[in-house]
Amino acid sequence: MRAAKSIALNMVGEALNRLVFQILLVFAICFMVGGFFFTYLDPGEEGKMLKDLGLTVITIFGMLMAIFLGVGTVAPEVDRRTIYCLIAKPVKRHAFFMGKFLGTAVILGISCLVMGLFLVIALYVKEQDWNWGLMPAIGLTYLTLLLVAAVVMAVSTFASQLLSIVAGFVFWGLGHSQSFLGTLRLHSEGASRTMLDVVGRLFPNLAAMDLRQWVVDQVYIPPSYLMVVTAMAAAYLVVILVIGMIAFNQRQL
Amino acid sequence: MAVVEISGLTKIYRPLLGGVGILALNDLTLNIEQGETFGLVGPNGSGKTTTIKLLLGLLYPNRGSCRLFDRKVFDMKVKERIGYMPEAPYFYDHLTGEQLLNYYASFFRMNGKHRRDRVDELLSMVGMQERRKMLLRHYSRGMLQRIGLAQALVNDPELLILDEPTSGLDPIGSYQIRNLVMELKKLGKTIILCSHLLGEVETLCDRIGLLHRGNLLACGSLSDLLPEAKEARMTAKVGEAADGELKAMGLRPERVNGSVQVVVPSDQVEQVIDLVRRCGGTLHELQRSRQTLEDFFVQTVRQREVVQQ
Repeated sequence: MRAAKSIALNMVGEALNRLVFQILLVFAICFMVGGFFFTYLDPGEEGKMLKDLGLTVITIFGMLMAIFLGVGTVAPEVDRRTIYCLIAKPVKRHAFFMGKFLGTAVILGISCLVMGLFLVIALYVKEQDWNWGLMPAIGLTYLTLLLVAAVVMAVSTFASQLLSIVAGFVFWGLGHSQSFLGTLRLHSEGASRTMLDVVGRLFPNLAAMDLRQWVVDQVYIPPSYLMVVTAMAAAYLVVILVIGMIAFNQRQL
Repeated sequence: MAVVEISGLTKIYRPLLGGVGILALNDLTLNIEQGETFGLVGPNGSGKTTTIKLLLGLLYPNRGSCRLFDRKVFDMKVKERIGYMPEAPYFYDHLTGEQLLNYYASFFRMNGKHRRDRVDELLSMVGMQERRKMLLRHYSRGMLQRIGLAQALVNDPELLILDEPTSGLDPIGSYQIRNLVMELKKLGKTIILCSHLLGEVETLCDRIGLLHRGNLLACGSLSDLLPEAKEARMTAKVGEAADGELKAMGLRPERVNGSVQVVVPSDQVEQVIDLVRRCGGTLHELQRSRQTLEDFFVQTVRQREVVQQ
């Protein structure tokens, strides 16, 4: 645990120093602040639009961060051979992997929090009301980002960086297409039905974790729903991380 | 007591999609004793780095085993007793030298004060006290090499594995690192030194292992591997009358700045010294030249290549 903590803290320091990360965060905030100046809609609609835009920006920029952070964890350490000095110390391979994931989780958490706070403040200026109801949506977006980052990290332990990025986007895409794939499955037969079945069981329903519409339409979100979705995400996360650790343990460095 | 025990170690790099693998290390058997400085030499691709990676648990062998301190190399108790300095080290460039050493020290059971003291001690040892607050991205190659050595020593290891520790350094930097290694040797550390600089290996190592295409061609102390010289080179200030007698002995004297230089077979050395004395001359230099490690290396590798052809 000590090793994982040290590695996570070092990763946070490194990421905060990385220009790509800073640019992404600034861009995201600029987009949200930009949305604040659109005033051509009905006054009631402005708030809705700002919420929608803000949550979309958090999702898209968050996903880009998750993918680029995920791919920048294991592979560069191997390419630059910095991992040699680490593995020569009392650091187990799975502790290294977990440390890197924890570092990624902290950075994504900070990013979601900063972007979320900017959104809440922007909405307060517009509507004179603190919209803390956005937080569950941001929380589930954060969990989705953790899943994407974990997939990219796990794939990067045995595949190239490009393939890992592609895997992240595919996971994201298929995860958000579960209901469409379900409908497609009902009208399919044979091998294609089996394949869609496998995809349906293998990938989490990420659309269920996207609460943007609920928040924009101010629909009540039952706590039980949040708990079930969180539990599903946590279970997927554990499985993906275990697969990543096993793959990294087998890797020849 | 053997600190390193390698038995029948074999590593084959297999392509991801099948096909013929590359034999990087073939049935290596080797023991390194406590307090010994062992030099691992060989041309590029001979298996030196593969051996080191196997010892550090970075690679898994196809056959055979390697143990450190009578434990498996993956054992964390082993990792607490070893230090490793990679070739051309690259570190996290967002850190300063001091932060990097603190980072690596955080993996060992060291409390705050102990860690701070150790970092101070190491920075002084490698002459980097004044650059401790400088970001690593501004370090020169030599500075990185020194910090690389410092991080390998952070846990005061019993076994030190150094991969090309002076590569890319200027003569003064190389000299300083060599002196540091000498000091560590005096402290009783077991050292594995992997280097292309054969003179350095010859100066520092007690025993040497010569690898070639994954095979251990020779292993032993310098005196075992390098035969005694069969001749000596002599320089003396003596009158030209001595030249005739030297020629009569079957030698080929040469005059350089009024001195005579001659290569003398070992069994004639005493005779030639008597001759110089008899002629009223002065002996300036008598050097028995043993075969160098470089000669041995080139000769052994060439012989092997001829056999393989």
